[in-house]
Amino acid sequence: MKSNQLLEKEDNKEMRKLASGVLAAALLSGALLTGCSSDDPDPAPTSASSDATTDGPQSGGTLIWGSRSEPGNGGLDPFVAEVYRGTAIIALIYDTLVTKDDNGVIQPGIAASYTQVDGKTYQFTIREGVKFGDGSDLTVSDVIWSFEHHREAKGAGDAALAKLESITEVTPGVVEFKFSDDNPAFLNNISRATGDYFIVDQQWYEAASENDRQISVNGSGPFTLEAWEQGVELRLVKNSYYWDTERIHLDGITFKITGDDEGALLALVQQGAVDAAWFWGAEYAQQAEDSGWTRGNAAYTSARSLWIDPTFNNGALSDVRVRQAISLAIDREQVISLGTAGLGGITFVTPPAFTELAAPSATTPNYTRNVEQAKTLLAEAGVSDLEITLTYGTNTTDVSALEVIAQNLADAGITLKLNGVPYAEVQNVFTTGAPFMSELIYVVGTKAADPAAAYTSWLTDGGLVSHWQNNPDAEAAKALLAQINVETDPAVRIDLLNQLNAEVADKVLILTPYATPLAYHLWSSKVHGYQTDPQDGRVHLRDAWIEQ
Amino acid sequence: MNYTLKKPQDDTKKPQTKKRFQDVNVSLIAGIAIIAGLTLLGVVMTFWPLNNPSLSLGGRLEGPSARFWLGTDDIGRDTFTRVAQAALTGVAVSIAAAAGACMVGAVIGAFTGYVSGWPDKVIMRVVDALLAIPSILIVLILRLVLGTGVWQLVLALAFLYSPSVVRVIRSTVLVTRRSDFVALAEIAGVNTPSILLKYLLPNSLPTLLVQGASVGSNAVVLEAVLSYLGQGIQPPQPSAGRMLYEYTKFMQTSPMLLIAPAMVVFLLTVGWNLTADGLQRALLITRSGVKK
Repeated sequence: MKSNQLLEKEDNKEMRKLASGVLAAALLSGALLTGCSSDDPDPAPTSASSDATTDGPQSGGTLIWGSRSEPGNGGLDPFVAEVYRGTAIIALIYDTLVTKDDNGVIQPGIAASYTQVDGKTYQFTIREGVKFGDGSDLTVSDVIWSFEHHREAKGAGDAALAKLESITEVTPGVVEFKFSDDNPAFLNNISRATGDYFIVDQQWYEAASENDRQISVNGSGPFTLEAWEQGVELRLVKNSYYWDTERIHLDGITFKITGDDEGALLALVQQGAVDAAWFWGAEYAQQAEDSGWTRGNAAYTSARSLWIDPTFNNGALSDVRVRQAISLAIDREQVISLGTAGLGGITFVTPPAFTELAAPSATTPNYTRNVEQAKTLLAEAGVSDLEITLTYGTNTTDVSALEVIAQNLADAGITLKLNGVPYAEVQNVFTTGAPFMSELIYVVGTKAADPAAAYTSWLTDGGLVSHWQNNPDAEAAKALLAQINVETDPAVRIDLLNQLNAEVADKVLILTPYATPLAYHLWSSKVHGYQTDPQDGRVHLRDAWIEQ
Repeated sequence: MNYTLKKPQDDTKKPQTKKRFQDVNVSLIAGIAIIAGLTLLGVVMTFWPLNNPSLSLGGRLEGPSARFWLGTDDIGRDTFTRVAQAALTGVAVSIAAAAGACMVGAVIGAFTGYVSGWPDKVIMRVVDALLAIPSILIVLILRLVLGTGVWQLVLALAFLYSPSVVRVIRSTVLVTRRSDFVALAEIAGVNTPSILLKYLLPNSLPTLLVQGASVGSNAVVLEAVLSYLGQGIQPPQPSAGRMLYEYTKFMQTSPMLLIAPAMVVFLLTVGWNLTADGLQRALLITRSGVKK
């Protein structure tokens, strides 16, 4: 269609001839490819580009991935690296005991199978024949050591193993984890692709220096490190010892590092210098898509939240009616269409990438805009000319969305002042528990391993950002969270989480105007078999292949 | 023999024309015209805006039209009105910062230049220290202490540029204080504050104006830099620096969103610099009597 429109404006006959030729060639190619794709024996999972396949996946070739970031603090050390830009690479090199599929269901990993004996006991049968990148065998003792070392390294901050009593090999090849208390989030925590519960070669790790662990690897995953020139590129090659090696089509993946300038990354995309890329900014993603690239399925892993301190400034937001008025005044559809270039989604506190949980609907309390009702609630609460402040880190790319929210609130007579501060100040709030600087603080959330973790720090009494002590509005939510933290039946737990999401939306204990993917994944027409995963872990690079 | 009387040549005309043209202080006029023009535009667009710049009245990233002269931004706001208001903000902040720096700097500079001795040494070492620290660092620290807001920004900028005014005014006063009229005033028993206010500062006024214009130019750039970093004018109030930061991502799709605020910063800086040059020229003429 775009070609036709252009032709109408173009008087040049030569151009018409050329365009006609291109169009004919495209139609012919399309017809051929359509015929071929029906013979594809193994279409890649949910691939958006499988229409261009010829005779199934082609093996070989190196995929070049443009990225603005590279592993930061901790480098490639699987026990030290915590930030996403590091773990997203490590996830391609190291394996976890179990994994999570795109539907949120636990699947085998290094463990060929697992059993939840009861709420406190889990058993895993370790897959046979698994080797590390240097050819050495992955043993049960490596598995046990990896978890024990993880607990030593993380101490009290170890979410999955805090209540661990023992890890033992109960029968040959079967590892049992015993906890002192019910640990229903255990599988979620250890299955996260970009988490840090990787299985590591004990001998290699202990022999390597602290520095070597950060710049070299020895994992059992599909790829291994060939070279890392910091700030320039990081090259992975296929791990020839990988236990599922036939699944891997690529010879390697090269990450081209552009730094924080996404404009430079977009230039690489438009020049065809990379085969795939991920963008933080929706605008750049859209421009890359306009260049003919495929944008992956929206994996809304990042809930954009406005955290509330109801005690701030003499308790302006302590009255539930005031909070409900704010939520009702927000036009979520408009915030998404203008503030995220239409690429965002509606969310609860738990982002939509938790596909196992229910998404917000038309019946979700206080989510459908109703300015008149908002004004009525404010009048009932005896509040007029409400002025509140929202503090945000100035490094955010979301100011436009916040400005739309300010406009929305103005319609209901609420003045929202925006207060930009260095991001470190915002970070202090949720890493050290520093006091809020205003009634609201804008937080870019990332998808945790377990959905309940999204609530822990601000809804648990004693949590780092908890400001809901002695507030009756939060009691029901707290009771639900307490239940969730001990419920071991996955189905019941999901139901409780859905109830908690609805309760928080009803009492407006936190405001979640929208969610976005943490990064927008895009790829050229040469790339097949790839799709975004709900963990933003690029796990489907294991299935990807590239036209030679 | 016929003699024809030649009409006497009016040899004064051409040189006079040339002289008059040379007399015109083009820099000063152009500088003031640019600043005044942007101010007028900003005032008109503030009190009688084409469209409410705070509301999303149009579609996303619309092109120029009869309603939206420069199109709309990413959330559908009128770019022209916002840019015009950003220009006014830039003018206001730079004038206020320059005025503040000049007031503080002139008083301290005149005092330290007149009294000499240990107060002069102490004050000038502090001034040297402040001038040695990168300006962006000082102003960022001040922003952390003072908080965000237009007045806090003006205070920070005024503080930042005061030391340079102190140094310039002190050097002027060091010369003026040796004048006969100052000596006579001292003999007549005029007190120090009166000497400063009645004799020394008025004689430093031309220098102060030049320095003030120079501070204005620097303040425009620094305000844009701070806003670019998110530490200047806070949204939704329009600011050229913040626009440059937020709209970089539209460089390819909607370049006008970047060009317009960049032009505001450019014009304001040029306007202040031309004003400073013009004042400098006028000052030289006044002092030497030579038109340069």
